[in-house]
Amino acid sequence: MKPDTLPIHIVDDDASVREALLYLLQSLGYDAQTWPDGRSFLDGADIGKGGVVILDIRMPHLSGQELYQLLIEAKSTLAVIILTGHADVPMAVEMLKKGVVDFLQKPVALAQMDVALENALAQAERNLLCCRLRSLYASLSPREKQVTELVLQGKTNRMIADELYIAVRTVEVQRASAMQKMQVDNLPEFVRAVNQACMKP
Amino acid sequence: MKFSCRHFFRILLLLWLAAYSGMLSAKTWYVGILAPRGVQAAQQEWQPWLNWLSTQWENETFILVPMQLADAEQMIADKRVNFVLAPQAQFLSMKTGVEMRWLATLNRMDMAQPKAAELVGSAVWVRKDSGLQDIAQLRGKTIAAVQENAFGGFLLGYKLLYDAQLRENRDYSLVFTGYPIDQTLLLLDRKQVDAAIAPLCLMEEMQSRGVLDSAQFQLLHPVNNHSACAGSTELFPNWSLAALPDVPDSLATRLGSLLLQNQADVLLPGWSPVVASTRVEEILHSIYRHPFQQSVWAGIKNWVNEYKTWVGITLLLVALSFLNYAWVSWLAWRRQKQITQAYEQMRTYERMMMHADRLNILGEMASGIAHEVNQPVSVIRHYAEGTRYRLQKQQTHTELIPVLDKVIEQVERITQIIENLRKWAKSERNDQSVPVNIAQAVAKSVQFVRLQNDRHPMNIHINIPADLVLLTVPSVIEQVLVNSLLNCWQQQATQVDMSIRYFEEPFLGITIADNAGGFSQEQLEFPFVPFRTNKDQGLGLGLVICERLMRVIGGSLLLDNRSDGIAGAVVTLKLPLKKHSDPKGVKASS
Repeated sequence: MKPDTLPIHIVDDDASVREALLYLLQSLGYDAQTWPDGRSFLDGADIGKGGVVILDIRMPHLSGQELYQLLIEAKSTLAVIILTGHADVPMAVEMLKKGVVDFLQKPVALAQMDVALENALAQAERNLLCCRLRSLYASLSPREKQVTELVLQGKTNRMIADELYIAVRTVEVQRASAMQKMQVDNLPEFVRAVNQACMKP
Repeated sequence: MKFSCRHFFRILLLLWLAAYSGMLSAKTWYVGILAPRGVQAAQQEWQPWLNWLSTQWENETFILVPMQLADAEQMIADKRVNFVLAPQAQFLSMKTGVEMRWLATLNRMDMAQPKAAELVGSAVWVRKDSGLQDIAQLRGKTIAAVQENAFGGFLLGYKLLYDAQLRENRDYSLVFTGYPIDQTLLLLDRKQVDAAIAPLCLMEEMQSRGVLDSAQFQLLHPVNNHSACAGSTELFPNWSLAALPDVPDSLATRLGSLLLQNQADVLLPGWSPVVASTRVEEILHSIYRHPFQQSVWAGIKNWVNEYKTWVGITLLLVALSFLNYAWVSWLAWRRQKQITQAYEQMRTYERMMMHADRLNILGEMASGIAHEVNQPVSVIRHYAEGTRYRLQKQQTHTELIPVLDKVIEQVERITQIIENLRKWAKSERNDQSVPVNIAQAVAKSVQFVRLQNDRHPMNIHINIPADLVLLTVPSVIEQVLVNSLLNCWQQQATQVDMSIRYFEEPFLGITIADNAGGFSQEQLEFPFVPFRTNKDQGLGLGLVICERLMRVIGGSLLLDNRSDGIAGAVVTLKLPLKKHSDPKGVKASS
């Protein structure tokens, strides 16, 4: 077992497929939770915690597409892999545009699944990070956000002070506070963190 | 002298005039005598008797007119003869329509040495070498006879054949030789015919003349008679003298009594009172040859002459009705052709529909099977690959790895097969978008459904603008419409309303609302589940296919129940509005 990995969810209405996929994932060194349909997944899983979902498309009650739509609306950080028996190109394009990590067709090969999982886990990590940074960014005061914005534009403390009609000292204090809140030590990290936080997931 | 001379001439003229007037009062009577053996023979035989007859009157002259049987009828009808001497039987079979007064019957028959045609009777002859023994054996043979109305030369023999159940044309064929009567036997002798109906005594006479050798011939159906001739029938010896209507009664009476009185002169023929002809009439009746029986055709002719106008009008009406019938028949034929043509067109359309339907069903089944098979194949692959991965990682039981590789190889093969099946299911489609007049497409589908199901009438009300044109795939629209309408029909709907529903741009819907109860809650929640059906023979693919077809052309199929209080379903074909360069183009404003 890879100790530091995020949780993996398998949502498929076919029990045999669920079990086999779990076996495959376990062979690859992952663990996963299985869900028979979208409804029970939404009710039972912690979708805010981050992780990867392997979704079937054709399922009763909620189709894979509808479930994914709900996840988007809930601003979930989960990375999604679609694994379907009846893939068609328009659907795949649409789903990829919406942000799924991979669109796989059953029966999927181990190697393919391995790559997809690695990508998805990385994506999930990014999502989580992004989510964390965004909440950090959200904790900045309006003045701190103003200063941060100008810092990102490459302006010096003096230029910012002039622009905002405040003292240079005040700018320095605000800037240090913001960097502390964003949990960074230097300017490059600060710029990257703020950029990631403002990006759409 | 001069005077006496003149007087003499005057007296001479008077005498001449007197003599001339005497000659004028004298009358010439023509006696037609049947001459079966030729003119000379007749003259030789009868001229003395006629000469004697002429001497019995001062002013009457009797002239011999030999008659052939063929001419006799006409000569009598034309009044070219005043008296007729012939076999009485013969004349009964003639259809002269002339009344005859039979005066006396000839009894001068030399029974010891009769001549042909003096005695009326038939002898049916065959060649000895033919082996024929009986009349009934003449079936399928050719038979010679004198003439159709010859009594001895045909009719009596004909009766024999008739009594033996042989019928002319059907059982035997006839050859009529006419006069001279010798022809009948000569044809037989020359093997041109199989049998001959000859007048009585002809054989004996020709034998005595040395023309034929009677030993070569065989008589069929021999009947004993009191003559020296061999015959096949009874005899009718009665030659009788008859007066035709233009002979005055006084002359006829006097001639009759004269003939009966004068029995003394041996050189002249002897006469006796007229013999009754009942037996002859009986025979003619039995073979349907009696003159009165044959008058039906003549009767019709007379009747037609009498009612010429009416017959003409009737014929005209018949002709008109025939023309009318022909005209009506032609119209019917043309109409039928049109209907057949329309029907053929419909059949072609139906075949196209069926073909498309079959392909769709096959495609849907292929894709359904592909999906269903995919699941277990996935499971196998996952287990095989997972196990292989574990074994390789742990380096245990590595000898199993090639086995698992084989399993995976086969799984890939299955995957490829499924992929091909799916590709095929998708490829069989012609998705050319063209401008489609929606009202026309709807009308075509409705007509098709109506023709399919005329048993259970379904009132279809269409409210669709006639100028609505969309750029889309006509075959898909028609197929979905037909399928939806057939669904309504199968659900026993009686009223269907078709109209246009306007969605937000860029969509437009064709709605089909029926009154057949509507969809169940389950059907509305899971609308397009394959292989689910409530029909005995349904595949459960109709709506699934329709939905897929609609998706293929960028639209969708919506199912709902009516909200206007009527229990019924509403199916909506939601179509994308594509711009079309035609100025009439898309017209979707309400």
